[in-house]
Amino acid sequence: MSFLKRIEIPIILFAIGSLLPLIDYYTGNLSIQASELLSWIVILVTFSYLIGVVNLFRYHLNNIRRGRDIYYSILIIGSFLFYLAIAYLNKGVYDWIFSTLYTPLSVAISSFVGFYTYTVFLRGARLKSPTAVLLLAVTIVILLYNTPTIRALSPQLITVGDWIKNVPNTGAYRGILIGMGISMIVLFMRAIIGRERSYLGGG
Amino acid sequence: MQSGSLPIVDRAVFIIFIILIAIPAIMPLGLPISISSNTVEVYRQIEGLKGGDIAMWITDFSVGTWGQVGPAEVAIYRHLFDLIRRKGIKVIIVTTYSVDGALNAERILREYIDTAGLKYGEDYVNLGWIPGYETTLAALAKDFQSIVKTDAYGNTIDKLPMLRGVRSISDIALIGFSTSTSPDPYPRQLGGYNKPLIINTLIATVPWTLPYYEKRLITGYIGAESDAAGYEKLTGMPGEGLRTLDAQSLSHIYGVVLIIVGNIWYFTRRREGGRR
Amino acid sequence: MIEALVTSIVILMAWSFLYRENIFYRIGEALLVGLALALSVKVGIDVLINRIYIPIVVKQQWLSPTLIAVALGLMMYTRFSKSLWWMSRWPIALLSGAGLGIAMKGAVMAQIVKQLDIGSLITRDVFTGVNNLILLVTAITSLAYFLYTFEHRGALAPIAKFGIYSMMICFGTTLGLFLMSNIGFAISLIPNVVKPPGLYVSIVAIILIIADNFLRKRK
Repeated sequence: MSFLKRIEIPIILFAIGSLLPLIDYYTGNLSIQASELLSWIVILVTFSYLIGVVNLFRYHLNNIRRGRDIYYSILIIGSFLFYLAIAYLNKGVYDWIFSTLYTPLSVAISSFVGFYTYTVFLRGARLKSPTAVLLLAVTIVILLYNTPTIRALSPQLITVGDWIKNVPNTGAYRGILIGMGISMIVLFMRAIIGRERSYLGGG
Repeated sequence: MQSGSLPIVDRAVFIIFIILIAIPAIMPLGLPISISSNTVEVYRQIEGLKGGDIAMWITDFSVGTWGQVGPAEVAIYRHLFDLIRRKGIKVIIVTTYSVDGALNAERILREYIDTAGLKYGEDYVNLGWIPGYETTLAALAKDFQSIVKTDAYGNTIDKLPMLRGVRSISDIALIGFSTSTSPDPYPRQLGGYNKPLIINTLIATVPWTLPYYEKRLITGYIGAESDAAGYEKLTGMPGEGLRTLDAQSLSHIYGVVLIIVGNIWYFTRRREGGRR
Repeated sequence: MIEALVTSIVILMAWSFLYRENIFYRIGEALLVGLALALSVKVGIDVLINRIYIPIVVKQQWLSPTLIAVALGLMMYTRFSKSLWWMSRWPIALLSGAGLGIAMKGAVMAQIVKQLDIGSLITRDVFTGVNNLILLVTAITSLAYFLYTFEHRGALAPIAKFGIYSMMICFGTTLGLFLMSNIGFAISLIPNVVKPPGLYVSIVAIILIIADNFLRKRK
């Protein structure tokens, strides 16, 4: 039993999971096994998705038991059970709740970032150094470039904006992408030899 | 999370923003627009589909970004379904990232698309959410039938005639996807097959997309509400994109004004502080 | 009519947070969490029914390799057990490995090989050649900035410094687009609260805010 608890077993499973698609891609061998693995992943992802739900459920049930933020947690559990029941009992109401309640609520909460971005622009966007000047100058050009009215009135701005977007911006992003790709290879090598174990939760 | 009130300046910033975007909603200003070249390119690629071609559209954007990605997504769906009628193409709709995409796709089909006269399973099919994200993308490209067992409604593949001949990406004429996160997995798994690969995404993701676009791993992109408005104009099917253009123009200019005003305020206070 | 009213109410409940944290916002937030949970569970159950229950139980494919995936999936839940938590590492390791392997498969070509191809610096059109040169310089300098293996001294120092400027152009573009991205949410929602019947809800909300402000100042 203690053999099963060893860290080497998940590392070997990690290696098998990562090497199968690579062997299939580069050599064409083990194609059936790689396809089977891909269909297993679909099931595993679904199970992992539901873990987050279980965790949240446990947290709020604990809150109710301890009397901490009790009404908030009751509302969460209550709306969860109600909506889950409705999903199987009445599709019309389920769709109505999705379009009328869930979507606008979700978008409204996501919209906070837009509001706070304006305050960042007012309070935080300072011309304190040459890099800040360059950053803000490009920000202003890009904002105006993407303003539909200004684009229509000023074709020169389209040329400048296109150039900034397609040349220096793309070049820098390329460097970042290449760096990300190399980092991924390094991470892969480290994980395969067991030096990187963060995916095991620090185990 | 804040427990107190915001400073008066921040509240004023929010109120001005709300007023600026409310004015065009009540009273459209009709400000001029231009259609970007990338929008025209996407339109041409989709319009270039021929009868019998299969287009696969991967709806992977989250519900919270409906306002950003939704209008263009609706416009593209409308275009694709219009092509089903005009040219006899076939459309596969699928989600790989999270359940949100599948719900968005269902919402668009339910509220925005007229499917009267079209045959589900022969003209179009909704595969729903196939969990796995990049793994699913890899499987869709390599071995379609291994990953697609049923559609979103539980129908098995043998009941969906249009999917019988689909084995891999080589059987698909055009692939498109919408995302509100990183675009990297899509060109990684679906690029390089010499197929048109179109992205509909947040405007903030566009710079990230450009290196792939430059290398033609992604062949077209739509990344802003103005692009959505331009697309609606090209297809002749107006929607939310065109309706929100005036508000966009005003809010972008507002952002520029805030940067300038903020710096004037900062330098004025610094000079006053220096004098004292 | 009812849909428009309900939509405007939930939008204003969420936006009330911009004034101050309050019970309306907390109710909206709790509703969102509950609904999101239910959606995830519903769709997750549907996927499991289609991929496990129907093939194995209904079609009686008892010896299907999918059973191994089911066993691994169920092992994930041992993370909640103090004695059996180590079992949850197996499916997570397999999942992480497969994810990384598949990402690597595409990354080498799309993110490295293809991006190394800059294009010719000597072209018929001088402008294209200059642009390719700028692409090359900005790509190399921004990549050089991330070379943490070597200290940024000597020849590397100015290259890395130029890389910072390249990335400022990149981040400036992203910052501008980030704003545009995020204001789009509010723009898409505003018609719901400025046109009837949402307008009436907005008027009520404004009255409540004014009253709250007045009462707080009195205190």
